[in-house]
Amino acid sequence: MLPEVPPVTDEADFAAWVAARGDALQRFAFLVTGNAAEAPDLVQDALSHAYPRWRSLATSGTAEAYVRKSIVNGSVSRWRKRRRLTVVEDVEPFAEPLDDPAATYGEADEAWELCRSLPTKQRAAVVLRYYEDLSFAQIALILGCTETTARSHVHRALTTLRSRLKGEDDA
Amino acid sequence: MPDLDEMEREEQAFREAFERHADAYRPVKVDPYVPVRRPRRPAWAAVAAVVVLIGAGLGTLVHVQYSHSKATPASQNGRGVQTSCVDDCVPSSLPKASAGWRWVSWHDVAVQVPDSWGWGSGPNGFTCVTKPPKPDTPYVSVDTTYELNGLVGCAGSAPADLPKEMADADPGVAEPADWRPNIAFGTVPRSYPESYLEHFGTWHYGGWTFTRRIVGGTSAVALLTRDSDAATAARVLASARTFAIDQDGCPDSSPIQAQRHVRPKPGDSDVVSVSVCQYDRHVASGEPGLMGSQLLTGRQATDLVDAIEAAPAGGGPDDPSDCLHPYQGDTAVELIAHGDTNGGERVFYVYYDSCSGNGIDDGTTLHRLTSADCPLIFYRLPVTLYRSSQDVSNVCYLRS
Repeated sequence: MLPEVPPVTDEADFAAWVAARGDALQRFAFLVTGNAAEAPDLVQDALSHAYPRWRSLATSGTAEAYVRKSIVNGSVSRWRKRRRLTVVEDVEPFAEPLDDPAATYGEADEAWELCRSLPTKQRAAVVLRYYEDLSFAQIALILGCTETTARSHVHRALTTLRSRLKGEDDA
Repeated sequence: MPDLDEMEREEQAFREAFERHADAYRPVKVDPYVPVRRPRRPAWAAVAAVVVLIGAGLGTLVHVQYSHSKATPASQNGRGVQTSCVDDCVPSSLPKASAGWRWVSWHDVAVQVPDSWGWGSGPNGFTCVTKPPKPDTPYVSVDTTYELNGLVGCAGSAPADLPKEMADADPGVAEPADWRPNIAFGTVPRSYPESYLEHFGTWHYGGWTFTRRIVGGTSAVALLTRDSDAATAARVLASARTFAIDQDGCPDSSPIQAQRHVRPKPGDSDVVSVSVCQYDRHVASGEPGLMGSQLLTGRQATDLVDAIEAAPAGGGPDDPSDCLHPYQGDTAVELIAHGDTNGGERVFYVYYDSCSGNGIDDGTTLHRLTSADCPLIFYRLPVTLYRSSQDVSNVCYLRS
């Protein structure tokens, strides 16, 4: 209804935070979705949710966790809106393969391919652990699950990757 | 099964994969101020569509009809505000509305609108929510700050010669042929450049008139009407004023706007009516934060208080596993139970979208939200259950 002129302090703080963390949040969103086109939209949505709460988020130091959680939830929501069938597993395949087919296929490529098949929240857990280097407690906070569940997400992904790599070793 | 610390090879593979792909990704510019979140935008969705949006089986929402009892002389209430009993002795600092009109309020500003005007809610910020059609009647915009975003998509495109200030005269509705008369409220910052005042005034297009006006210094109204309804528009705008206690007995601010949970002072009174007052907890305590209000009278009022008293102690439902600690929630409701004239009042604080501590607090006991008490709180617009856990929504929505 009206063009908003937020309090200067909140506006300046929020802008500074977005400038400092925006790129990293986009990379996180991209790794969670594998979709370069969706990553900025997810981050934009998450920031739009965070701004009205900025003062409390900044005061409590939970802005980063809040925005990441919004990104993960937004990714899940977008996939659910697109799917045609009800499925038990919340699995969103990556939209775009980024690997150069001509390059030598290595263990990292196997790991990336595995990520393409993981359910969104499990994939997010793996990204948060091995890209963001977060603790399981921090991962649980972002994903809204218990620390045990967060640990289980990661452990299962590692075990699956181990099986795949062992299969290649034996071949 | 191997332990996590025995999987260095696999961990390294993931790390390398993410580093490689993250490096290949090129971030784009993200504007932190798009969308504008806090303006209270008018909406085009039907009242019935709001029912659909919030997933309630509310059926047809009952339009609030005020049965004005005989006014009593003005007096000071317990809050030190000059009031008069205008409806079953509900104190208000507003005069009685004209016949066929009613007061609607937000923050500290109120206007009178024709009784035939409904309530509408819809697009929040920059997203246009695809919903059922907007009301057929003119409407008052519900505060949609904390409304869940739906699908993104806006239909139509605005005419090239539309004054830019009228672009959101009926938000989510680009084409004037599809507009509906409506009024919305918004916040005006305490300081702004002089150029900001250019957004206030009156504009005309295609048989429509759109007016934005500052009321009281920190709030504003935006009114869209047809040119043929100029008399109605003039009357609406002329009625705009600030208040301390609105037509439903709700103060413009409440202690429950605090980010932490607070407790009301215990009280005791019989119950003739209950003011249901919803506040924005992201507005500082002491500042006007009223988002919407309604008044329960008669059986609904007594049923609500009875249900609260019968509810189990201990509060809830809480689902701390499904929220981000120490998330304290966005909104809260203050209930003010009024007795007979000079019969005192009893206050309850209602929390419903926090990580923990949800419930109805009477100052002595935190009662649980139940299917007997909660639906009566969110019975009518503009009081709205924006976001909550599944457990809370299960008890708070009135099922048909």
